[in-house]
Amino acid sequence: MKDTEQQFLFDAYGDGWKSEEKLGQPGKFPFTRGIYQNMYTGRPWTIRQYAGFGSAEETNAHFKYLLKEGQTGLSVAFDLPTQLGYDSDDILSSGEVGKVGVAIDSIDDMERLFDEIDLTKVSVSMTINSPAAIILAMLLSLAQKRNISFTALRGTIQNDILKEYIARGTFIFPPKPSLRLATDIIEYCSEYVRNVNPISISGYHIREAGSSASQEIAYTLLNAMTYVREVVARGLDIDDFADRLSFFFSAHNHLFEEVAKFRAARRIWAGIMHSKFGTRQEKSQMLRFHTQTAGCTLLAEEPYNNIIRVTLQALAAVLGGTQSLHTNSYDEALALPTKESVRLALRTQQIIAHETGITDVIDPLGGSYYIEHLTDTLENDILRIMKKVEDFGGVITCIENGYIQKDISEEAYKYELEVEEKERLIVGKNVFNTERHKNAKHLFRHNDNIEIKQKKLIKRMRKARNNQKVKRILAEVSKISQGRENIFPILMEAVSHHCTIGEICNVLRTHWGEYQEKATL
Amino acid sequence: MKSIKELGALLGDFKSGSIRALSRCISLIEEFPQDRQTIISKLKSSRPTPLIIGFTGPPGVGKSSIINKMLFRFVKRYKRIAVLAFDPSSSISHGALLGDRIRMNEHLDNENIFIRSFASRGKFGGLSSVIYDILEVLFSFGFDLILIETVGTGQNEIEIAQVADATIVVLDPLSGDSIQALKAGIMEIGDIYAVNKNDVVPSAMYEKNIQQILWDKHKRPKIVPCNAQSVEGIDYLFENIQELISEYRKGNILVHKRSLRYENYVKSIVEYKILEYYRKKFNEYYSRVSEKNKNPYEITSPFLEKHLR
Amino acid sequence: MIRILIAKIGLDGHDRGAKIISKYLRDKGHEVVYSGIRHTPSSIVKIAIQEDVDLIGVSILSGAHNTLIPQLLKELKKNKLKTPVLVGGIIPKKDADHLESLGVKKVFHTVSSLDKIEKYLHEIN
Repeated sequence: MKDTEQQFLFDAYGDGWKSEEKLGQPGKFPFTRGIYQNMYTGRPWTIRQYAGFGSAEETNAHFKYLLKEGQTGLSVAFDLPTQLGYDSDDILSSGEVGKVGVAIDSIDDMERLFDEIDLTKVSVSMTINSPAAIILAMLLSLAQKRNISFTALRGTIQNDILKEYIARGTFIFPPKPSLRLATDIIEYCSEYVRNVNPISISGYHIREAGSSASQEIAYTLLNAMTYVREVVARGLDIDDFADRLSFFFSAHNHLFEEVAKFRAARRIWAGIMHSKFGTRQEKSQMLRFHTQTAGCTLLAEEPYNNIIRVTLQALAAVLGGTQSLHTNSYDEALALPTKESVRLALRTQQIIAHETGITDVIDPLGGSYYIEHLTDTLENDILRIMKKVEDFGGVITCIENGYIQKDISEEAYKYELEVEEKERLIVGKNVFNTERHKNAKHLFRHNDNIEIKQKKLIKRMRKARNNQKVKRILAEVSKISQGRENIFPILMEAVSHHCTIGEICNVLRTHWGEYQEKATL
Repeated sequence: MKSIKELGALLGDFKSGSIRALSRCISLIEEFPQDRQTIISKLKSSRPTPLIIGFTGPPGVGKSSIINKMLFRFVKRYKRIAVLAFDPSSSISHGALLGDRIRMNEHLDNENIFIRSFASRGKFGGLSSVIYDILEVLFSFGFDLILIETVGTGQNEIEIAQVADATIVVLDPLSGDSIQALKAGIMEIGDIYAVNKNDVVPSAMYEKNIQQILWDKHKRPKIVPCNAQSVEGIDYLFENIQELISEYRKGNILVHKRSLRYENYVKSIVEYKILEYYRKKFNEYYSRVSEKNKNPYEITSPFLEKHLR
Repeated sequence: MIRILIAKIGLDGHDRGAKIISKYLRDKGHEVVYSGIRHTPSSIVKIAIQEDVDLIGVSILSGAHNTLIPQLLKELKKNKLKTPVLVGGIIPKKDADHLESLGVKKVFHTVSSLDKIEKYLHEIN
């Protein structure tokens, strides 16, 4: 933000600045001030803490704990083998089972995960991308088993493969079949599962990879446009699915820049959906988003300082009008959160929601000279970055030749050098760092035998199921994967007959191949 | 000599095909260029000279991706393949970030493919000052095909054409660098110009533009559209390369190129030695020069007169 | 000048740190071979052999270090390689001590400054 650093006082709006165009009303195009007319005055944002570890049982118990402590929506973290379509007994899963999230191999695990949780009362967000269709199929099969109609389900499935190539790295298949899968989900949901967001186009991970605020929004919106084009190419009317597109952003350190970022993102997206894609309904133009406070800003040094960081970042998200929020726990630079640290993160949101008065007004910072200046500046910067990619051949081309990854990586390096050179001060790290690095008192420890347990469960399940049926269904999956039919229905059948995530993905890997990283440093 | 001592221990393993020994020997050449003559003579074995194909072009144009896809086809025709990936060293820090091999990770399990990354270590031209010696080591080990990847943008990075039997220049219409490159040195060195296809800019127009720049009475290098993302896009390039090699063999062009390569090798040895010798001598002379702000020609002429008599 | 392999092991795809340390070491005059993500212990060793590196630096943030790093050390031993291994990432002190006792030269938690890491490379080379 070099040019704003030179200006210390903001006492006017820009030249020709028109408040009806730039600002508008909350709940009305271009939604700068918020997507709903009432925003939090009606109902606060959803408190949705990302959680998951070990076995489905352990995570289920943890979900119940979080709901009891006042969380209003669930968010599932899956382990790396699950995210990459490997069963817990795959050789590549060794050491990774249950570590960064819950291990899900089959629908049995899904049942255990939501045991005694009423899916008609709690919305569920699932951070799963490459095998999202399989996990969603498991959720829907579970709903069927419980006689819950699909339209009674609420939640989100991340299903954003493009950012995996760009920043997160949990891709399985190459772009073309991956986009087909993502589109199959959106198509299926737009017809049968109307209240689940079939995609959460994410900038959070792009920011975590070291991008700037503008890059975070620019690359996310570009990805979103790619998905929209894919779905429209399928023949769907844009107004039939656009209102179900959702987004996911980071809340980073610079309070005002973040607020401005969210406002600029809303305005730009509304403009794109209106002008570029010609949507006719306002609800198709609303940028609905979930926010997570920036994990990359958490320090292992003096971990309690992170509580302050998270609080300020959460404040930015709320002042910026997020629909749901995850606040990090202070010990997350060291390990997964403990029960106590996650409760504190929950309380952070609850205190902001109930004690600060923020929920009594809408877009309180709107009209501030500084905020409007920042919103405009970011908007211009974001559009500039978006145009560059479009001039260079679009998102897929720029992923394949590594342009986007390199752009982010350069920004990340710049940031790091600023920290090394003390041009960017970080309390406890390069300034006011008197206390030598100490661990937080008590850290989360994984259960050591999760891997053995999962392996036993899979073995037992494979014995108990109808393996003839499994074989037939997998052959069907194979056939459909090579055709153009929507693959979702057969995946539903597969999971309900206890095909595992690894078995299904291995069939898909055979036909679609595996994506090779295109890193450019 | 440190290097010769270690070489003695490696010799047996090298001759029995140990990749570790090969890798170490390449490092010895890089680390001890003054001993390369000895190293090579000890490793020497008479094997048929493998085909050498070079890939060059501006950064980001997709050379590594193309080589990666090509390898799947090459392995069907050539038993043992070596890939040498060159990246420029930073002229400021002299360090290097070598990441080309990432795109070739799919071939790690193939014992018959050897991939090695090189930094130019200050040498202009795009390769290494000891490239010919490194090639000799590879020849002695026994490869059937050697692929060399190098970044080519300006007038300087054309050394690949002096080393390879065939040079493929990869261009991308969407990359501004490609246009610059065409105006500079690499427009003269390609045997095949591979143009990356994309959905935005129709390549036919671009190909025509290149043709106008490249084609004249005497030479008409092949201009081939390619696409690393599609099977057909790569097959077509592969077939063109195979055809070219065939033509070169028949028309004795391969023989001619190899004799040029031999000439360059010989010259590089002499140039290296001469430069090394005179650099040393001149530094000694210059350190004794008291008045360093005289006309440069006045300072250097006594030295030159003495040595160029 | 040191020739070092920076590798990411296991399923973890977060490469921000690995890329940063790679660039930093390049800017300090070293030759860095960057392997990319999703490597197994055996593929890392294959690269180390082909590239003949002086050091192997492994980045891991997924918590799977207690399984994967010992496997890497075993694979190096199997191939008779004595290349020192450095590990960086989210590794609790107890685990770091354990890995060092198994043969890892040093474990760097994310708190380590880039400068500190680079200076250490000179110490051990």
